[in-house]
Parts: sequence; structure tokens; C-alpha cells
Amino acid sequence: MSAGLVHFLFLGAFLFAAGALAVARQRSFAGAVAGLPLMFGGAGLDLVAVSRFATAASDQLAGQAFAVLLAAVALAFVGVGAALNRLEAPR
Amino acid sequence: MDGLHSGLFYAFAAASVAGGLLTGLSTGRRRALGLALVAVGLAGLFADLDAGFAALLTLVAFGASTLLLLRPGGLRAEPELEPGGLLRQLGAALAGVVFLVLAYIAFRGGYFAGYQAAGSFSSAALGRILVGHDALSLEAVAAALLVGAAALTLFGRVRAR
Repeated sequence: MSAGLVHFLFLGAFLFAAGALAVARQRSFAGAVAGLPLMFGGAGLDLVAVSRFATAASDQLAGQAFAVLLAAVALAFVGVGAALNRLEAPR
Repeated sequence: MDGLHSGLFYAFAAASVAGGLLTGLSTGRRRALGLALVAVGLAGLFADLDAGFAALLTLVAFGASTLLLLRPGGLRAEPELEPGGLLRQLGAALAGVVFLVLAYIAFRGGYFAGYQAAGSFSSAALGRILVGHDALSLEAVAAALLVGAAALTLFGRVRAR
């Protein structure tokens, strides 16, 4: 069966929900922050897929640019999580 | 997509789903393994969609998350999962609801088509308007919403302690 836009959207929705579940279930900062890139990754996958399947060929970079932005934001949150984890660690 | 790209999609999607389940439901090194699996799966999917730079940056972001979990402080500060806690159970239930709503939108939206006075429209046309024509404003609003939601989550955890 050929993979289409619906398949990518379904997978992005699953990754977003899995990230939300990881954030909701964990008590520590490190555990919670690790779920955020999952949510950003799911959203970025949806955007890239929509720009690939549902837009004209000249507009495909728009969704990719947003996915890159989301990955950078996720990386920034990982840094924030690392700093918070270091702050709360016993000396 | 042709057969090769579809096969790659299913392979990387399987890795992403397995990694997502491990990340959401387990702790410790299994959780780090789950993040690494999601990194490989997502990067492969981005590459399959001809988004090479996004794939590279995804690998970096998820690799950093995996290292954060694998460092001694990350594992030490991560307690075992507890079934109690009304807020956590509510959050897990809401995550399930979010998945159901997004999955419904994905399945229904892909086949949506209608008519109005100016002619026909579909989900593909809506995607062209949002991502193609108004990409910059959509990016600004969506990024603000996502950053705000994530910051609220972190701020709530800081205050809870």
C-alpha cells in the first residue's frame, strides 16, 4: 500500500500524543523534557508532509523551514532541561 | 510515493512507533533507547520526504535528549513511575484524547472535499493556503503557541516543587 499524506499525519499524531504522555507521566525535569522533542518532532513531520503532498512544488520549503525551526526549539528546551536538572541535583 | 519510498516509510514508521511507545511508557535506559529509535525513525522519514537538513537537526536534537537521559544525573533524578496522582492520570488521558482527535482529523481531512459559492475546495487547498500563501504568519503563530505551551509545562513543574 502506497504511503500518502494520511499515513504521515497519523504517524505525526501518534508521536505528538506519545510525547504528551511522556511529559504527563514523568515527575522529573529530565524525564519531562525528554518528551518535548517527541511532540515537536510529530508536529514537524506533519508540516513537512503537508508541504510535500498538499502544496505546489515551489512551496515545499515552507514546511521544511518550520520543521527546522521546531527542531531548533526542541534542542533549546533540551538545554533548558539539562540546566534545570543540574540546578536541582544535590551537591 | 513509489514502492521504495513506501517501504522506507513503513520501516521508519515502525521504528518511530516502537520508540514512541518506549519513551512514553518506560523509564531509564529503555526510555533513552526509545528516544534513539525515534531519532532514527524521524530522521529517515524526513529524508524520505526530501528534507535533509530537518533530518540532520532532528538527529542532533534527539541525540542531545538521549544523552541528557543517559548521563548519571538524568537517570538518578528520574524516579519510578507511580500510578497515583490525579493530574498525571488526567494528563495521560488527555494525551489519548489528543491522539484520537488528531487521528480522526488525519483520516477525515485527507478525504474532505466540499463546494462553496466560489467553487470547490478540499484539504489540499486548505494546506496550500496555510502552508503556501500564509506560511510566515502561520509559523509565527504556531511557534508562539508551542513555545508557550512547553514553557507553561516547565513553569508548572518548577512551581509544583
